[in-house]
Amino acid sequence: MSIIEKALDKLGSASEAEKDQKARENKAGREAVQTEKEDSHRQENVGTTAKTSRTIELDLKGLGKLGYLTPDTDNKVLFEQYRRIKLPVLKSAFEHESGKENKNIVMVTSSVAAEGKSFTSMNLAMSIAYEYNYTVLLIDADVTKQMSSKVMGVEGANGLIEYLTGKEEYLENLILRTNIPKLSLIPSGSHSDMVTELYSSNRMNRLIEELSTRYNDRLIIIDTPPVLEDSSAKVLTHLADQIVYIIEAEKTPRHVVENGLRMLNRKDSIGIVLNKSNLRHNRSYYYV
Amino acid sequence: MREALEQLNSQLWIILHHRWLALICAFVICAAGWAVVNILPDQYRVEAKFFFDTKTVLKPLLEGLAVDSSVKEESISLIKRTLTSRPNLVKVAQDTELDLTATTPKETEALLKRLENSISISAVSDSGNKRGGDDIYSISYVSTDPVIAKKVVDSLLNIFVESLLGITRKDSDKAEAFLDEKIREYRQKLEEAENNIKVFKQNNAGLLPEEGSSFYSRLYAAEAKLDEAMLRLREERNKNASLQEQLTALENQSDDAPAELMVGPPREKTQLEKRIEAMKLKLDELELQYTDRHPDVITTRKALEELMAQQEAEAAAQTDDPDADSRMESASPSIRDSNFYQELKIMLSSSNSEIAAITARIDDYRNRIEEMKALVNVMPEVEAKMKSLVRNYEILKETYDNLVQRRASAQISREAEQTGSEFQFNIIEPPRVPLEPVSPNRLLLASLVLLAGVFGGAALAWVYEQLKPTYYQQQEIEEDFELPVYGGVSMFWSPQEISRRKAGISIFILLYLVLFSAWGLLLFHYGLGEKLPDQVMELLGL
Repeated sequence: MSIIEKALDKLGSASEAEKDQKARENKAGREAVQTEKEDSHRQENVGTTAKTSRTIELDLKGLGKLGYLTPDTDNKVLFEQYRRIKLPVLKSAFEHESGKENKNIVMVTSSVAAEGKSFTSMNLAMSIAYEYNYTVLLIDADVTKQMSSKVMGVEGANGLIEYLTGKEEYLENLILRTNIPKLSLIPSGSHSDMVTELYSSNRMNRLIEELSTRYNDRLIIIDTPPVLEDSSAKVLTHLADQIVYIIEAEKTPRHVVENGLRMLNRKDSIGIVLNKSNLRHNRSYYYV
Repeated sequence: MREALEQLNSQLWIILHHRWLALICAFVICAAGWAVVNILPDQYRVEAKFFFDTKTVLKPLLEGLAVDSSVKEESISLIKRTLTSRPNLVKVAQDTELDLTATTPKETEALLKRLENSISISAVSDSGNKRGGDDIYSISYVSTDPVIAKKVVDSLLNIFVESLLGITRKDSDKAEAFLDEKIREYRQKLEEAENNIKVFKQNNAGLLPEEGSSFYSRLYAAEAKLDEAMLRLREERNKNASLQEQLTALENQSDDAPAELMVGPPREKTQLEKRIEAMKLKLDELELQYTDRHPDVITTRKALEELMAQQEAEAAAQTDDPDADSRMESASPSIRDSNFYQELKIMLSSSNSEIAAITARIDDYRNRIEEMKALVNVMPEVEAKMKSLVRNYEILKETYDNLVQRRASAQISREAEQTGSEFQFNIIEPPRVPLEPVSPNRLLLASLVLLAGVFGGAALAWVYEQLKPTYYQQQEIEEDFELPVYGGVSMFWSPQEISRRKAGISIFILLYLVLFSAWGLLLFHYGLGEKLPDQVMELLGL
């Protein structure tokens, strides 16, 4: 019996029986969520309202060691690189002429697996979290791999899938606050074979709509599966306002990238990030 | 410059990215290449050097007669043509028993072709040779079997000696034949010239001068003779006149003067007359030599006039007697019968006959001179013609003599040739079985294989990248997709990854070191160890 389970038990006692049961099923034997006692305590207090917003503590040191951007990072180059990437993203998300609706749904995808979607999603989120005017919500939509969730340590927690299947009714219950104030997460949730269908559902549309419009200053970053390997990604492209497309340097061949981009079936609001670049040339312009 | 460097850098990076592919390729190429280098058969080169004096054979014959043509180039191409002619190649194949290996005509053809290609003939420019490098040639043959190679060169050398010396012999014979022909030709010309002279002489008999005297000199001589004869005539006439006078005087005296008187006056008279005669003679002579104005002539003439005056005076004194003539006619028979009178008579008659003879002679001389004068236009022409004929003849004779002499010397030199052919042909370096192969240069080939492996691997890596291009720089993406590139993110290397990568690079370098050490071992295996000291010494020496 781990701390998590204890916490979950507490959580379960505070919330509805159905949700409690689901959480038990999903999180048995897993160790990821490190909810703080304080949080549980708070949840207990507000549990009856079923609108609890849980907070997780991210292991920033561990993330830093894995090469992720953290508030106290030493990697000035990485920091500067993401600063460059986030600027156009933020610009097209919030500085549009019409002012009608935000284009704040940013989808991060790539041609094939392991090109660095999660890495980029998280770092981009982290980078935006530094911003004074914006907050950021990271959604792990890659149900198969759940990389972001794993890295963040929220693997197995109730997430997107639970919400879409209706097992979790309240959106608020999905959103995890973190020890970085402006960064919150929605984990992927449990595995499902019907991801594509779920993503095409009205509930998904409504969810994105809701997330997009609730806060004017919130940027939603969706970490998606690779477009060539998972059809669910293609569905998500219709929902996203912007696409950040990852290309792994020195590895992803041109024709693969071509196929991937063709799969997106759109030309507007796509920005490319060359990831895992080794050529010194790509770094040499940074003033660090 | 900067762009080029960047370009180079990125290309190098691409190659490094596929370093394992490059490494594998290098290993494969080296393994295969070294195996081939090892299998390659040894090639042995046998060479023979010989001295062949092209000049001495042909030069003495043709020197001065013909232009000294470039015998040397001709001779080297001659050697090549001769030696690689098909019959010779067949002969070489038979000599070396190489023809036993070829059973079908096709194989024989290939064998002959191979022979022809492996034989090389060249002029050696050996500056150290005292006889001049121009005439040193080398025959060489390359084969996998040193013994066979030596046999081939031996055979070639034999063929060369036989055929080429035959050719030069033929050449010298040709030269002699040429000389013979010329000599014949000149002899004919000479005979012609001689004949011409003969015919000319026959045609112009009498007109032709004797040796050493021309037409004019003969004319002058004839004229001189005429003058002389005229003088003689004058003398004789004077003598005759004086005799006549004496005789007349004697006849006159005989009438009134005693016979004793006769002795005195005639003697006195003759004395004076003699002086006059002598004087006249002298004057004639002088006149022949000099003009009338010459002082000698003048003085002589004066003296003569004085004498003549004296004579006239005496004659006048004598002819004081008015009937002198009648006395003469009426000379007493006693006087007529006297010896002196008779003598005078005889002298007179002989003088008359002398005059007649001289006159006849003078006529003859005159005729002859006139004849010659008539020929004065023809004669010089004849003479000139004759002279030219003679000159022509002499020139022909000179050339003819020269040719005959040259032929004699050619014969001598040919005999010298025959007695000792070492004047023209001498093997300087006989063929010998080589111990060391000349090729393949395994050291070089093995090194080239290594280079091919390393660079071929790199090239393959590069080509691989071109076939399956990936992205190294943001600009490439922009160019390809016309989409905005938000930025690039450096690869994050975790400590494990870094150490793995380092290990990988170490292994990579280690494997390359293995490849290079294999190369080094190969070099030593191929005898670098033996050759190196020499080369090092050479380098130090330089």
